[in-house]
Amino acid sequence: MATQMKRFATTFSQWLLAILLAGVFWEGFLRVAVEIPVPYRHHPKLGWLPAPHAYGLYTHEGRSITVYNEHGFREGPIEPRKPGEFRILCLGDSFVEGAQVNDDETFPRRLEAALSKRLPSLGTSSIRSVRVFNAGRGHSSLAATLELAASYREIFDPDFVVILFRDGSFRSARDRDKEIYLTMKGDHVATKVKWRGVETSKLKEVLLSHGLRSSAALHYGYVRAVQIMSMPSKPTEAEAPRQRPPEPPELVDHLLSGLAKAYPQAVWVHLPMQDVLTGPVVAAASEEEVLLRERAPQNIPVLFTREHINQSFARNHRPIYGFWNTVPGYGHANEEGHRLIAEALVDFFSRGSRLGARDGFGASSANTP
Amino acid sequence: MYFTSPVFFAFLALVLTGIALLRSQPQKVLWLLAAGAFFYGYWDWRFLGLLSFVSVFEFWMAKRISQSSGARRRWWLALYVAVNLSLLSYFKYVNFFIDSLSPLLAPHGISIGTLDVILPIGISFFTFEAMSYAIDVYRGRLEPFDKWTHFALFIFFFPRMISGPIIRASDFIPQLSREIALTRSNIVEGATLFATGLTKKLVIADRVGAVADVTFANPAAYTAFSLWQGAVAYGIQIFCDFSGYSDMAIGIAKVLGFDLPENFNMPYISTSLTEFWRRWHISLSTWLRDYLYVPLGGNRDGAWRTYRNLFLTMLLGGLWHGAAWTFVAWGAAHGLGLAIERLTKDARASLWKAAPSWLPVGLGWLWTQLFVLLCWVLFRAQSFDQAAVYVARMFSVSTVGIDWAFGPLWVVLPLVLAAHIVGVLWGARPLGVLRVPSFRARLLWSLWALGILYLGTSRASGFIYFQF
Repeated sequence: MATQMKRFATTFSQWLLAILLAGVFWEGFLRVAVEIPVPYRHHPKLGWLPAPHAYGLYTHEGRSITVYNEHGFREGPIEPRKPGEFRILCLGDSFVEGAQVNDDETFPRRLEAALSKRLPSLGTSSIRSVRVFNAGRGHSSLAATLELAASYREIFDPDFVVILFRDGSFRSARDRDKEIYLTMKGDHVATKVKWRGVETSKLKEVLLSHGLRSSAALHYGYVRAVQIMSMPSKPTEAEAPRQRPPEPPELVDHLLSGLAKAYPQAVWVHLPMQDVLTGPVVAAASEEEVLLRERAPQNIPVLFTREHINQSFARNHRPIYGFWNTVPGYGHANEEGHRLIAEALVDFFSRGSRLGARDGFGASSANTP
Repeated sequence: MYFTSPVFFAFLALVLTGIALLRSQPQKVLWLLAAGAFFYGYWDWRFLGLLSFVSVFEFWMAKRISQSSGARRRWWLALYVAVNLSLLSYFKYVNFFIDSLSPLLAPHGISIGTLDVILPIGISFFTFEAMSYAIDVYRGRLEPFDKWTHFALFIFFFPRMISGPIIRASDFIPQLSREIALTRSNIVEGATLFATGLTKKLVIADRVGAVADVTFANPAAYTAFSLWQGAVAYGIQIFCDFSGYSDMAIGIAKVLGFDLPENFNMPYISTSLTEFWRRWHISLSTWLRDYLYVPLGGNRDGAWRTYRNLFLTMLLGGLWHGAAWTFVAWGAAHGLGLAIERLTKDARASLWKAAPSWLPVGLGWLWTQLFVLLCWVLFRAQSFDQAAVYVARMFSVSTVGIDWAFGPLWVVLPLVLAAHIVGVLWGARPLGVLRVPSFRARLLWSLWALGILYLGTSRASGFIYFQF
């Protein structure tokens, strides 16, 4: 009996040690080759954001290192406004944050570089420098962009705001999985706020709260286990594409008029999807129509990038979505996509400046100290 | 239920617990029978009736065939084959026939609608398996079995119920004469095979599958470079998906104490199409050889009849894979390729007489892989038009289109090549270390298990061969 117990204890402890060593090996491998997850902290005003000065290695699409500032945005430090500085704030979700591309390839950085270079030729003598802030937040929605307007203004003190709309942006604003979402109560719109982990897990939160910064393998394993547990267990009939009903007009109106009021000096940019399975030419999206219809009373300029995408594709046959380690046409905007958005915005700001309209520097520069 | 799903692991744990607790062999047979019924019924319980009918009908018919002689015996066999083929035709091919006939009848004002027939999962596999039993009895190679429960377990044996390997009653049922028991060596060997299959499926097939999916969905949008990658990706996907499933099935059966036949043996090292079919889906190839090619005359009636028999066997083999003309064409292309190989055998032998031995081997490998790859395009394409566009663009020099270097493929390709090289040089010997109860084995098992968890895709798709 004692011998059996001893043998059992030996086997058991060997298994434990083996699993531990294997875990250590994969921890190292994942950190070097696969990913370093970004730790998240709860910000009292902004909710869950990357921890101050956090960094991560993002490899799900492309491979890039992301670095966050003191507020948890993919930005450098937010310094006090310099004399003659014009501040542009880019708002939106992960498509603005651009964790999939290198920092200098995101459209806010490209925009800043291009405008700074062109500044002398734009005839805006009161503006001496341009600072573009990337306030894109993964898993965010336009509902959060609207709800957090006061905080964003306080942190960034912008002169002008770029808001990115995508296909499904209105639907996303109603998504109950988001931290902040809109919901219909009768015929009026209510905003729901439920701060909780953004793409994080309880385990990850616990690990991070104990200072275990490098929880890559455990986090990875946890997420994988959850995903695997939710895998289908039997063949399913191919689901017919579901025709989604359009979002309630009251909700869209609430969202757009709210954004226009919260950010009166703004440009709305629409970025459509490009499904290379059905053909790389991007067709008009229903959001475009809504934005066109709604922009008139709000008097907000809208930039549609569809034609830019189609022209770009006709030129170089490169979809603006997809990375070397994914398939073309899917996922987030790649460096070509960010370049294209930046190009459209540079063009917009340059025209605005020449026209002297509220579309760009002309009117906004009045706010510049 | 998928072998990769959590439900299956819970099911398997329950089945193994039952086997460990039950004492007598008949109880264990009944337990495995019930497990098979649950496994199949989990997908669609309505088809349990069909499976039960098959198990009773085949068992009864084999007895009738065995007890009769002369013309009566032939009639029983004819009836038996007719019923089996009718079942297969109705469930699998009726809409294919209707769709094929409709354009011919439409000009005459005749319109035939389609039927809402659900394809019972695995019907191609269990029909072929059941047919081999009665045909073997008819040929006098096998005595009909006494116990229906044993025969029913042959039909309801869950590890291979859905996608094979295709096993014959003569290989399976005698195994029931030995005690069904869980042994350490069987568990370790079975677990090794299962983990191999799981790795092939989750880490390789599902990763490269995405590459094939996008290129086949819209081949006109891609350059030749992208399309070649898509075709190679599909070749890897279908091999790792199907052989992965086979490994898992053989592994689970092994844990339960049963031996299932090998289904794949590194087919991509083949230097001829003949060799390829000896290494690819071996259980189907041998079934087609024994129950179709040989009865057609095999190679006994001269060269041209041999070519005809090869062609017909592969043509029907193609149709077995799916109710679509692209599958028929795929089978026909392989039949033609096999016939050409046989036709040119002597000429090639005399041509290469003076050449160094590596040259014919190398060229043979190149021809085989290129042929197989192009045929996979036909197999994967949704239509002839799509296949034609795909192949035409593969050989086009046009640079217009999406030129994409698919990262996952370039990571997976060397791994698959390395696994083949290891397989050629050492066989399965490197895995032997896992069977020895030592700390090293436990560490390797832990590394492997966590590796599948970390590196495998978490959105496992269905197995390709389920549809056949």
